[in-house]
Amino acid sequence: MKNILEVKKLRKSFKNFTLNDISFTLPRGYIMGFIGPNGAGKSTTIKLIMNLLKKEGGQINIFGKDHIKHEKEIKNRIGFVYDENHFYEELTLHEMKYIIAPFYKSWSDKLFDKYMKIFKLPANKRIKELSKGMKMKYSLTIALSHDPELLIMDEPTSGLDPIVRSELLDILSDLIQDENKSVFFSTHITSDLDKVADYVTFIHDGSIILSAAKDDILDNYGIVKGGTDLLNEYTQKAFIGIRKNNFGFEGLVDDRDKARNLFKDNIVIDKPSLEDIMLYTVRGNQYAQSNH
Amino acid sequence: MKIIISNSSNEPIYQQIVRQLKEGILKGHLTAGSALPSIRGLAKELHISVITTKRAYEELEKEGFIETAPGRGSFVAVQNRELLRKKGLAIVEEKLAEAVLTAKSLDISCEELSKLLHQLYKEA
Amino acid sequence: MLNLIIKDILVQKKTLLFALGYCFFLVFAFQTMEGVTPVAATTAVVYLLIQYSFAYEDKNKSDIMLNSLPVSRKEIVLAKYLSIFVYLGLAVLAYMVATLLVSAIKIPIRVEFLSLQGITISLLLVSLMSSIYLPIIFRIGYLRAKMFNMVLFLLFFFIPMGVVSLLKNPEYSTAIDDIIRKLSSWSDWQIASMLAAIALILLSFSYSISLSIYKNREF
Repeated sequence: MKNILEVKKLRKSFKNFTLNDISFTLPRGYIMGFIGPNGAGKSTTIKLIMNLLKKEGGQINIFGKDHIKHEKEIKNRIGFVYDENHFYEELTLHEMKYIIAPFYKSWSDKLFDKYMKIFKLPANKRIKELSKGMKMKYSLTIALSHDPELLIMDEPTSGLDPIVRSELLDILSDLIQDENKSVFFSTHITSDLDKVADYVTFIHDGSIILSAAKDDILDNYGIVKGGTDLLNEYTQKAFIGIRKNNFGFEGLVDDRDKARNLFKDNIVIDKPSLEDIMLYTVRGNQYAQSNH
Repeated sequence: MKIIISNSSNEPIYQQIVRQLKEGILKGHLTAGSALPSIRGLAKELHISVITTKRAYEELEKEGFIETAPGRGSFVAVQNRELLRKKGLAIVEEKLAEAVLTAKSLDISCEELSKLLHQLYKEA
Repeated sequence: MLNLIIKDILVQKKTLLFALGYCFFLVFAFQTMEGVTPVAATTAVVYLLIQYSFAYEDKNKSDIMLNSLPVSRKEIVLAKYLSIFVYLGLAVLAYMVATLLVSAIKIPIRVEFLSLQGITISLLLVSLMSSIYLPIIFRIGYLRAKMFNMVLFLLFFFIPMGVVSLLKNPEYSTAIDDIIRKLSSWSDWQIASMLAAIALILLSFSYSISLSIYKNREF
């Protein structure tokens, strides 16, 4: 079984928001970053995967099995970290562990102690006394102590300083040294993904804009820069998003070679960052409107 | 062994790895049969995607520079000197062609170019 | 399942101490009210513990965490119902400790000890109360259910008084007399088990309502 997580035509609607039949897959042994602006549907998707929300349509398979039919077995093999703390704040770290541990068949106190040590967490402090970064580290410690095959995280890096974030990313790289394990994590801080992510899924307004290997995305997409005289109704169609200023334009294309053929040597093509891709895609329409 | 990745370079990261490992093999820094870091280990060290290192290794394997034994990892392939030399020549040719193209676009004559080449060869 | 119940107790370590203090207080405050103190004290303690256990879930939004663990929603709901009995046990213990201490240090007040009858009545009251408000908490959450629960709790204090005065009305007294006569031919154990059975039926009915509510909840 190659894919550890498969989401097919997943659907959920709220009053002001609809998750539009989204699909993506995460193979075993890789890290997938789930990006999109706030309110794009990242948390909704993760909550549907964890069955905290009830899906209206579609299919979710984890470890090749239906996520509701085999819910308990699947959750035994998943570790989760959410952006907010959901532990009992009045308990100490050690007491909370005492409560969580019996739920998991494969819980290992050895692993727990190992991560507590790595993260320098104080076992006898109460959870509410921890800083935001330490709370996240504690969540991660709890999430990893039953040696999960799939780690699911919702915005684990939001509100953390760069040093803690980089520590977290190192742990993720460590984790997938075992090629049977995968990580799925959402973030709106795309620079986290520029480094470690193998796959990127980009959601916007309840729809998947793209889901592919990060290398393929970064090798194909490009930031094209040139003079505004190059732009007309026809050439403008090549862009996903475009921004004009007094001296020229910058635009995002999803096919660098095509752009090169179209504009020849009159343009400069830069490698985009994931953030560029996100910004131009999200604001692409707005830019287009301001042009008319 | 040294591998340096530039994120701002236009050369894709996997190609940077391929190029540097090839150089290492051709120059003899990496000898036949010596073990390469694992795909996942290298990705972790370099802070890059596993897919990138995997692609680089696949490329090197395709070109016969390395061999991968399932479960044991990747090794520098055993090749005869003749073949290595040929491969080396191909790389030199490719780079010279690039230099020639640039020279032509700048109206630098063949003579001037060979003079430059001799000089560089002596200095190196 | 067991760890869900243990969790509720661990989280409420402080509340337990408070409960013991509360029992002391009631022993003193209610010393003139005959027959009321043991039942009132234990019922109140159980009420407190159930409320607080939900308050802690609410405050920490722990439903999100619990439902991400390998535990079924059925177990989560069932644990809350089973913990009622654990709380009653703790309440009885707390009350006994309070009464024993008060009589041991010979404070000159009238102390009313818990009887089997008292425990059974508490069980019935607690079950009745929980059967009504647990489904409400599972439905609308602790905070919004709080007001409603307060009213309910006060009613439980006043209804018995109302019933007593009603019973004194001659219109009802013959019918009541009949029941009492019948019941008095039963042994204490028989009455206790009958009341316990009623409590269990109420609770299991309430449990199935709560479960169907909680199964469909979204977090």
